[in-house]
Amino acid sequence: MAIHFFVAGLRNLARHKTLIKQFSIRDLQARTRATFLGLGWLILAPLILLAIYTTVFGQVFPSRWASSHQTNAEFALILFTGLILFQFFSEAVARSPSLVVSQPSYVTKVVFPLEILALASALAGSVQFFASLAMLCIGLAWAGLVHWTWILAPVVIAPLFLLALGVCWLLSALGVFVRDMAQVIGMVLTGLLFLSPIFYPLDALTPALQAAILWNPLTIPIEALRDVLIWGRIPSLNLLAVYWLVAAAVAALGLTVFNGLRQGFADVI
Amino acid sequence: MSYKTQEPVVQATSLGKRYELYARPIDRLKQIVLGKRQTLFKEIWALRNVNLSVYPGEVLGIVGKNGAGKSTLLQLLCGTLPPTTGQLKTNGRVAALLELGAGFNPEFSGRDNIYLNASILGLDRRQIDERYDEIVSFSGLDPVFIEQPVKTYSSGMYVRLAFAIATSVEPDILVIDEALSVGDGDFSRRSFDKIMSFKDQGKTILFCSHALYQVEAICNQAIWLHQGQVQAQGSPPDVVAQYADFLAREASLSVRPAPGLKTQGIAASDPAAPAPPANDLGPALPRVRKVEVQAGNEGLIRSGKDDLRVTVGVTCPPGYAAPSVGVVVVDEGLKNICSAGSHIDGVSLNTAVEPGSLMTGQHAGAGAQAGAGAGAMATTLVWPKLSLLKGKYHIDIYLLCERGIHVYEHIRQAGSFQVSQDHLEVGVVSLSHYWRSGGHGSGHEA
Repeated sequence: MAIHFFVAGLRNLARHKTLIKQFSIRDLQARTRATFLGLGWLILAPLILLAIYTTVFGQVFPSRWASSHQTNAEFALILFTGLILFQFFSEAVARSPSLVVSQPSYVTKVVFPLEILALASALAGSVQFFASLAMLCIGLAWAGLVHWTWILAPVVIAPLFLLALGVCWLLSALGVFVRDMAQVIGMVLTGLLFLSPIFYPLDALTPALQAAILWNPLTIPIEALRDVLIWGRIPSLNLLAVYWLVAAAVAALGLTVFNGLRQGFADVI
Repeated sequence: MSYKTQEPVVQATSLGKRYELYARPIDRLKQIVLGKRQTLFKEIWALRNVNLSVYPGEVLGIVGKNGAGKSTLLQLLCGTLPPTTGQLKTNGRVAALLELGAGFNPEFSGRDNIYLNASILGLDRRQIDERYDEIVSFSGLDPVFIEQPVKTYSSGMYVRLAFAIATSVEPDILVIDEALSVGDGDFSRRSFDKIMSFKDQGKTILFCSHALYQVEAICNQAIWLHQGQVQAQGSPPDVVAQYADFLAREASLSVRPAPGLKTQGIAASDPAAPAPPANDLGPALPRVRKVEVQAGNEGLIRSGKDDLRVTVGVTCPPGYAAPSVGVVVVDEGLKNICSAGSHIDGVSLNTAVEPGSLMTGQHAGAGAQAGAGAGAMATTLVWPKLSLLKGKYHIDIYLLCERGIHVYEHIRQAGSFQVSQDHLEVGVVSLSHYWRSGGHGSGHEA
């Protein structure tokens, strides 16, 4: 039964490539349509965020990096690496509970492959992510931090995308039945932001705290992306392999649960 | 028709739909987890045990009162609702003309929505590119509007665009709710023609309608649903007759409808798409120009002695085939008593019989062509020695397309007359009859 839901989901995704593309583009347009700057926000929004966080954690509460030997520019780049991964994950997850609920006509009025909504939303979010990543790379090149390990970046980023997608499927299905999901998720995401090595280096923590913070789904990708982009070293392959497995499992679980719960959507929307 | 040798395109066996009503959305989630161990919902059976086989090229009509399960059945047939019981097999691309425009995103332009909607319906980019111009031109939308967000559209424009997209996918099966035509004025006629062209191409059509007249005119099969159950199924005249009986019985149990209220009868126009009143749409459609009722002496007919004459004057713009005229005699309780239709009797409207009418040069040529007759025309229907019995009667006029299906205009109580009688027969009509003396032997007419 579970296998059936998973296979049906995969088949729908494969069959509706045009629709996925269309919806990703619409999703992106919907975020920027009717705004004055339009796609300019893709560049501007992360920069503003970066300016705020750099000021607060570089000057107001100097973080452990800031107080060590790094320059302000390097600190900003380190911060930005973690921040863009978090932004991608948090935006995808925060939007997910309303993905299905906000499209009642796709549930009850037309025959529609609902599983593409989460995928299109994640894809649209990843456009923002890649815009930010491009800015980061320009910044790194400016600072003279170019490494051959950059080519490993996709291997580090891809599992986070899978994980986010799986969580989106899960939450968008649950969000139909449990409407308080959005409130809870806001708080959880704030927790994930501060309990991940975005504003402080992982090795500044006690071993016990380090072990605990490793459970944060963002810790491994953040550390690994910094390894390949900034420090120019190969990340822990063991941790990365485990992360890939977990991410793939969550994605498969998400798609399966989504299709299993879908029968009930029309009854409550 | 010998379609039956082929495989059915739609086959439903003991199809049923139960709606589950939950107090809170989370109960629905608990129900999925609990399975069948416990029931957390109130159940409502919208449809039970429907069996259907529709063959390629057939037209299935569904009749029934509001809430009888018609829409549920259509939604099941086009796959938007999963059935609770039974099985449904469809063979071919289904286009649903239910909830037109449901997949539209109001923020996006008409162009974007064409691409979005058509890809939901299963077309790929290349196919949409090919049909784009056709969709826009059929919808009749101004090129200026195509680039505007659809939230700025009028509801008519919205429906026109949605209809144009839905029918552009070249469906094998067309599922239509309520009206065979959508939009207003000229578009209403074009959408009707489009659907009829699907029928002529041998596509399968499933539709529900309150216009029993349409069901009888174009369907091969009919189903009457009542409270979710199939009450009758089979040949349209049988099913419609049973349903009309039921409606009449029900109407006689309830209070008489006030004059002017809509009633459902053999030729009631579709309530979902009432014919627009005259004069507000200009001369673009065939219109009734005048109705004249000549009944005996100043509106009083002596039963069985005086004639009833109804003269209907019509204008028909160029490009339309000469329309048909239907005349219905209605009693005080708005029950249809008798009727006549020019399309039923095979009579075509002759052009410009009236002196001093809107006759122009153009109609003379157009009238000569078979079927096409632009200009002003008139026809007179005569019921000689009207045998209705005493009472007050009204005349309803229908202006219909040349096939007698699509209603251009419906004029209620276009005229009225009174009947008196000098004998004591009771009832509404005096049918011709004779008596025989004795048990057998030759009789003679009364």
